[in-house]
This record gives sequence, structure tokens and C-alpha cells, in this order.
Amino acid sequence: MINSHLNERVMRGNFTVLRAGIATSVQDLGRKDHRNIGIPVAGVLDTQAFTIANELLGNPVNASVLEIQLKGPSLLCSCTTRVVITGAQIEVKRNARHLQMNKVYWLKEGDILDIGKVTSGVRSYLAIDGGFKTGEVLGSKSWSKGITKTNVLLRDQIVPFFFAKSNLGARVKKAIIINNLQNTTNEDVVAVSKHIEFDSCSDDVQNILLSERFTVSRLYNRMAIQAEEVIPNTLRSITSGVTIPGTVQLTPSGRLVILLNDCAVSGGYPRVLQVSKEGLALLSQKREGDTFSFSIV
Amino acid sequence: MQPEIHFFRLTESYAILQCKARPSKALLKFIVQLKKELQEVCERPLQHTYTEIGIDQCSAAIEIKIRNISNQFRYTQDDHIAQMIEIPVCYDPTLALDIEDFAQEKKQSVSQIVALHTKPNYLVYFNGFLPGFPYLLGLDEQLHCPRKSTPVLKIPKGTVAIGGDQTGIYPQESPAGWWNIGHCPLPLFSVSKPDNLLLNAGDHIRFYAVSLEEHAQISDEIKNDKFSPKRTSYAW
Repeated sequence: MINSHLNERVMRGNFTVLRAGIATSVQDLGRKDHRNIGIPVAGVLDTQAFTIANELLGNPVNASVLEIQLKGPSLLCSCTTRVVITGAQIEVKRNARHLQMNKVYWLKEGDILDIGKVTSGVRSYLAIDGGFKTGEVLGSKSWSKGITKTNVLLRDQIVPFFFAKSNLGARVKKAIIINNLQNTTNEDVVAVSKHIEFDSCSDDVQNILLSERFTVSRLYNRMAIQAEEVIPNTLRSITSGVTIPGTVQLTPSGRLVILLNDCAVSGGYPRVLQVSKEGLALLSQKREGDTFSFSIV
Repeated sequence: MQPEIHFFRLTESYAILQCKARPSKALLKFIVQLKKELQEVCERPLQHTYTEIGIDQCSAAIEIKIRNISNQFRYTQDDHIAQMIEIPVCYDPTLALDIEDFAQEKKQSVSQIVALHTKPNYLVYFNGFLPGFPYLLGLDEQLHCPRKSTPVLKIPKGTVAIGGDQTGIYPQESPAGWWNIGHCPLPLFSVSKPDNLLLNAGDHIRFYAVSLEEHAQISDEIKNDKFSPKRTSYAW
């Protein structure tokens, strides 16, 4: 009885942001219940890396994490907790000592977690015991422009978390190293299905979509990835229709735009393909110059 | 109105119902009524556009129900009473940064642009693009205009703009390729009251021109919670 009472006690802790990195944000699985009033889903882009991170810590499936893009933050820790980093290969140091990916580490008061540059891929995930305790808005902690107060991590910001003191002894032995994690950065076939306007495309365009290789242009963020290649397109704009993360649009100028989680809920460009959930996780790790092709499943 | 309906499965969890018809008031009524029936068997709020209904968490079991309901669905005249909402817009070039260029583009005077924009009753079709952004139909053909060749990175919250054959109000700061022809001081969406949108599908709106002084006064009254737009019942 006494033990279970103790188990419920939590200690409040936080990270102080010493350096923010590029477009670091708190994300969970997003807010899917408000698309009807125009609110983007948001949420982690690489759902596989997110799930692995939370599983390694024994977290609830939707515990929020920090999504890191290309260059990570430096964080000062205020109390004992455990963290793990998954996703894109990234340089991580705890008090100047290198840490491995996909392995659970302890942090204590005063520790500095310095997350450097991504060396392969685009996005890494920092998960923490129990998830971050930043504010929940409309059913999700995911940062989103116009919905949450901030949409990227800022210097000197305080990012709160709770540490459940209860599991101290129990979980330390469970620290796991996953060696054979699926490394998606070398995969380049993106599983898709045909979208509504696919059949309106000319045979040539249909062939190009399903046989050519495409290159990620410098235009990529959490809203969309645009391909470098120009497709000779004759399709005209449509009256605005439903768009979801993974919808592939073909613009009047012949550009392919692959929508990601921060995309608008509707759009007027013809929708030619729909990327699968797994395909989205794969694409979210592609950077400028990386190539990929589509394959119908 | 009895359009042909097609079911498209996009992913394991997402599907779209599309009506083969052009956007119209009759189609909107049809879609709103069908959506209401479909919502009974769906967990997540359904989303609609001009011609489509988006269905999240659409399992195989739900797909069967959706197909059955939409196959059997017959529109019945309803007694839904919508609202006519009067929306103040300041067309002064101090706030409407593009109105002079736009007038030049359309070979009209600024006052003619204002007259043409304030004349019609617009119908709200749905909210999309940005939280609370109303897709409106009813823009006078004389105001149709291709988007600006170079989009701007930021237009302020409340901007009233024209792009192509559409006009709308931006509920938050946003990049935009549309022409900024006015400013509306009314908030369209607030995170604290997400379901309390200013404009909902089926509402009709009319814009009326206000001076810079009136715009400032209305903005003050909104801050003190003392302004609400005039609303009248409007049978659709």
C-alpha cells in the first residue's frame, strides 16, 4: 500500500533550452478531431521512430517527444529522468561524452544534453520518461502555428516534464540497445495508392509518376516536400478538395508537392497519389538531393 | 439534387466520398444533410468541401455502413434556418495594401471595387485552408483576378482578399498570393472556443464598408467584448 502511494508521487522537472537548434518542436500523434474547422493534424512525421522511442522508455503510446530537424538543441536538465533518441542518426553528448542512438540513458540535475547535427536523414526524436508536460491544445500537445503559443523551440525556453520516481530501480535494468533497427534512409521506394485525379492525368503523366525517380528539392519543411523534377502537366486546378498528410499534388507548373502533417486540410491542386503511412515516415527522412520513386500497393 | 456519389479509399484509415456535381447551394445542402447522417456511424468529425466528405478512421466495417447510407440517401427539403451575418470591412488603402494595384489591374476605381465587393450575398461553403477560414462563393465576376505573380510572406490576421474567383478572410497571419483588398476586425476563430466559429457552412454573409475611424472603434469594442455583428435569420 505504502509503495503504491509512493508510486503516484511525481517530481516536476524541466529542460532549459541553452541552444534551440533548427525548428525543434514538441510533437505527439497530432490533433485529428478538428480538421472540419480547418485545423491541421500536425504531429510527428516519422511515426516509426516516435513509436520506438516511447516503447524503449515504456511510455504511453502518445507520449509527446521533441522532434529535431537537422540540428538539435542543447538542453540543461533540472532533475533525474531517462531519455532516448531515435530516428535520423545524430550526434548526441551528455556533458561532453558521446551517447548512442536507440539506447536509454539517465540524466540528472545539472546534466547538459547537447544534440548536434543529423548525419544521415532529417529528423530525430528525443523521448523522455512519461513524455513532455507542455500544454495540451484541442486534444494534442503537438506544436502548430496559430494553435499553440509557440511552434518552434526558442532559446531560454523552459520545457517541463514530470519524472515518475516510482520506477527508478525497476527500469534501469531494462535499458535496451536495438542494433538492427530498420534503417530507412537507404530505402527509396514510397508506397502509394492512386488519388482521385490520377485517372484524369494523361498516360504519359501516369507513366512518369509510377516509373521515374524524383529528387527532394530545397523546398521541404513540415508542411510539404516539393520535388525538383518538372512534369509536363496539362491538368488544371480543381475546386478545393480534401487534402491529408501524404496527398501528392501536381501543380499547374508541373511540380509534385507531397503534403506532410502541417498541411492545410483542403487544397485546389489536382491530387494524383496518396502516400501510405510507412511511405510518409520514409519520406520524412529524405533531404535535399535525396531521390525516391513511387510504387502502387 | 441527387448527385452520383463515388467512394475513394486513400489509406487504411482514410476515405473520401465525392459527389459528381459542380459546387452549388443545392449541392451544399445535400452534402450537409448527408454528412449529418454519416456522422452517426463515424467516430471522428467528418470534414466537407465543395463536393467531398472526408472520413478519417474509416475501417472496413465503417466503409460498408458509409456505402449503404450514401447509396440509399435521398435529400429531403429541410427547414434549416441559416444566418445572414453583416461583416464590417475597412477598404482604406492604409490597411488594404493591394486595393489600389488591384483596382488598376481591373481598370476600375477603388470605390467601384468596394461597391462590387459589398454588393453580393456570399454563401459560406466550409472551413479549410487555415483554422476558421471560410470558403465563400458569390464573388462578382468583374472582381475575378488571377493570384499575384509573387506571393507575399505575411499578410495580417483579418485580411480580406481576392484570388481567382474567390474571396475570403484570413483568420491568422499567413503567406498569401491573394490580393489584400481590405481588413475585417472580427476574429474568425479562437483556440479557446474552437467550435464557436464566426462563420459556418450554410451561413450567408454580406460585407459593409467602414472607415478607418469606424474600424478602430469596432476593434476597441471587440477588445472589450462589446461588439457583435448583426445577424438575421435567413432561410436557405
